[in-house]
Amino acid sequence: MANIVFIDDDPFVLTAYQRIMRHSGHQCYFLQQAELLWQQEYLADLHIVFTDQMMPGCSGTELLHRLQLQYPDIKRVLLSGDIEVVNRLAGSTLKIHDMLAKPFNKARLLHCIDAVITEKVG
Amino acid sequence: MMSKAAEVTELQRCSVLDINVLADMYGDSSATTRVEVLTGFNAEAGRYVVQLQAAVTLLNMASVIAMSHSLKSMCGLIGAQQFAQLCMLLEQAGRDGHEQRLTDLSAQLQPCWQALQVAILFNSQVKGHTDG
Repeated sequence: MANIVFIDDDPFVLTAYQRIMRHSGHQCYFLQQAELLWQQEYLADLHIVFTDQMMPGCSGTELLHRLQLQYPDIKRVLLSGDIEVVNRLAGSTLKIHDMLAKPFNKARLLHCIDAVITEKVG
Repeated sequence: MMSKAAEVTELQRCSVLDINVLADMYGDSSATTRVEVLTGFNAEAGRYVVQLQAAVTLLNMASVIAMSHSLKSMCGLIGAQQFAQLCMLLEQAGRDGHEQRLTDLSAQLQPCWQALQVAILFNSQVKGHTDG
């Protein structure tokens, strides 16, 4: 079982992740505001952070960059509808373990979690 | 860039609502999930559409980009391919700062949204998939 947090500013999208992850066997948390991540008691125990890229105030890459610096052992996965974002990461100091192009289905998400936990990607 | 007529034709080719996409997304083809998801979508997306329409009218590009981007994501989760396509085009027009293109595309906003509403209503009532 992994401790996973999903971050997306859209409530409907967040609810979708909640529904998809129901009965997955993982301990999941859901945040609508990226900045709230740093206040969570469970932060140090997380295994994976999934975050949307385009959010008001703080982009997914900004969040993951800070996470990489402060909690390098937590795996980082970017969620975006813009696949070009990966190209823009080239040359950046940010390293992500995977990226899921939105929209993705339940099977793809669970496969990603499995691969990231077992370090088949990244 | 496609012509106005070609864009409308392209939109009309897209599925208004593909329930198989929804079932695949959630890994669940039960009627309960379908109705709950569609009901949730309607409540949430309706507010975004009103804001998107206002942003287009005011030519508020930042808001057009944000609203159409959010709606595109939401549509992707239920298989609302036609509206997702329209939102993608609106988002791109916003990013390009192309006011005329935005105005042209916005003429499709209400017809596409109404078509989606009809499809959602239909699929919220008819049991196309089995529970369990």
